Amino acid sequence: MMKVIEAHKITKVYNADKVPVNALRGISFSVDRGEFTAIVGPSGCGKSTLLNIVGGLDNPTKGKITIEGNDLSNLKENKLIDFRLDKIGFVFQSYNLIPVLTARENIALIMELQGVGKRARNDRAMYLLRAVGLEGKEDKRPTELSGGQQQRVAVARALASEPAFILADEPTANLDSVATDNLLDIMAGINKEKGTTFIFSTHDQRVIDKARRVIRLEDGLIVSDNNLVTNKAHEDRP
Amino acid sequence: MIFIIAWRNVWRQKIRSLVIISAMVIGLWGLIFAIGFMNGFMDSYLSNALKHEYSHIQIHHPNFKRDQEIKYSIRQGIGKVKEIGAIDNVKAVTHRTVINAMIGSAKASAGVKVLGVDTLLEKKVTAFDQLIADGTYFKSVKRNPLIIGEKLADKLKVKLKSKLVLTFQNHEGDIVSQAFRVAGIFNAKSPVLNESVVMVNYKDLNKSLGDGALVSEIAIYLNDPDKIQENYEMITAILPEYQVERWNELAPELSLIVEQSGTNIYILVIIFMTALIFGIINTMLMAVLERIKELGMLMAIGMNKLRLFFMITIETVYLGLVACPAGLFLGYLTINYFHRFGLDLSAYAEGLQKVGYEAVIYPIISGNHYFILSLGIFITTIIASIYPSLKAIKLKPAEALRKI
Repeated sequence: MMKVIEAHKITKVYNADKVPVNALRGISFSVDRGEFTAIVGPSGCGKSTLLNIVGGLDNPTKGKITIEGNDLSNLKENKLIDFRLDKIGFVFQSYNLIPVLTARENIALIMELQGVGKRARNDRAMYLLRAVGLEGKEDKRPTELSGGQQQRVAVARALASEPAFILADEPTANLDSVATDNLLDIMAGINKEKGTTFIFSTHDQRVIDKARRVIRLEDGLIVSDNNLVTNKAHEDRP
Repeated sequence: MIFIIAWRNVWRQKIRSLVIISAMVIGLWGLIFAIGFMNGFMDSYLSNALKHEYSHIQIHHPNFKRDQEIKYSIRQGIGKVKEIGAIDNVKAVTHRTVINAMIGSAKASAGVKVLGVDTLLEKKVTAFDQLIADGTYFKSVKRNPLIIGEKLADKLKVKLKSKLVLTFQNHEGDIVSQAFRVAGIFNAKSPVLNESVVMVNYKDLNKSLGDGALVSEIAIYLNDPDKIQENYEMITAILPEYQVERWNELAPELSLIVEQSGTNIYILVIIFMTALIFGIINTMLMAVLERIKELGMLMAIGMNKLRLFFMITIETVYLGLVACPAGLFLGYLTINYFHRFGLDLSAYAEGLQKVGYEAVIYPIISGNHYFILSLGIFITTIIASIYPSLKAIKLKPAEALRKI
């Protein structure tokens, strides 16, 4: 299986008030294409820091991150932005849609940044809206949508660029249980049908239950890495 | 879509955007009015000075301005007047005999400049007949009529038909005296004309001077002052041995005032634009700072710094694009109204007239000024957008996304 992400001895030290804080302490792991992975752990354990580093939004103090064979530390800032545009989809806890754009425009924006033609991006935006169950809501602005609907638009936006993987930082934190189940079903369905790789940071047990791999962090270290698919394969082996 | 986002962002905080747009509209409107008013003021001053005093071009003997003696005259000047009058764009041309003399009434005397004029040609050039406040333009007195400024008449304590004696040197260098009677009293805007100039018929004056064809000065008024250089060259070719001068050479102080007025306009524009820059920066900085998380998200999902910079710049330019036409239109309407009906400053008439201004000002502004102001607003918004745009692109996406 092709490795999408390879993290090698990632260390992140923040110098808050001149006191160094070790957010990550030499973490190594890899993610294969098509994984549906949850990174879990208590608050302050380094989940968001890890996601930021994997997503190229932050630099590790030490260590190396490789996405589909590209070492992120070798990329200059503008190249890194282009890399994120093409390779990484983001879903944020508070949706972070552009309030002045409609659902369709929010999705199409990513493709416009990629240089996709108007008709093609509109067609794909509509296709993605159907895929996340928001057909008929394309002209609604974020304020006219519920939290769950906004997060589904965010997922569609993350998928718009056909990225190598999607990073979702606490995607269900602001959703009720119905919206959470709905969103998880959609993401799991996309993962299953399209083979899109998803990596979540989460506290939410329902997300953890859906994940096929759970990486547990504590104090900046991986304390367990439970791959249900591999384990099942091991268990199935005679 | 960046244009769409920028446009809609302008209207996200309607009140805030409308406040800065209104400030720009009112500022621009005021600026147009101020420029129009200054132009109108200057126009009236200049046109008064040119019409009643300097004309567009004057011709003298090269030594005349230094000594003002009658021997420094223009040979065959009267014939040259006809030749110059035939030049294209010359509206009117006249000749004058100019001498310095003593003027005496029964009660007082003073030093004056005497202009011996061709009464018909003179009124075509200087429209002096329109300045007569009392009496007539050389008509009410049959023999040796004279017209005099109000101030000088007061000083000499004379009125219409009063007798005045001019004493001067004739062609031979002898002192001669000649009696005149006041036919008219004029009220010119120029204090110099009002206080120290009298006009007589050149034939009466030349007779006493001993040279009937004496011409000290030729004054030319043009139809289109913009063609002055072309006409200047033609006239110089007709009278190459004489000193041909344009109004800005005849009255450098007038030229300086006009130039200074132009500079004042630019200073006014710069002050306005500078104030505007700070207002816009304030507004756009607020717009950026309240959207840090959103801007961080845009960078996170792949909007590069150039696009982000461009988006904030466009947003700022949109403020100007909304304000500029409204300000220009309001300014245009105001200028148009006052240009047609005049801006009455009669309350200050006395003071204004003392320094040669009209009491009613007709503001005027050229298309060029509208263009410069539009360009100025555009450049101002671009300059004002730089700091907020830089602030936006310096954001770190990971930090920006953590902002509440």
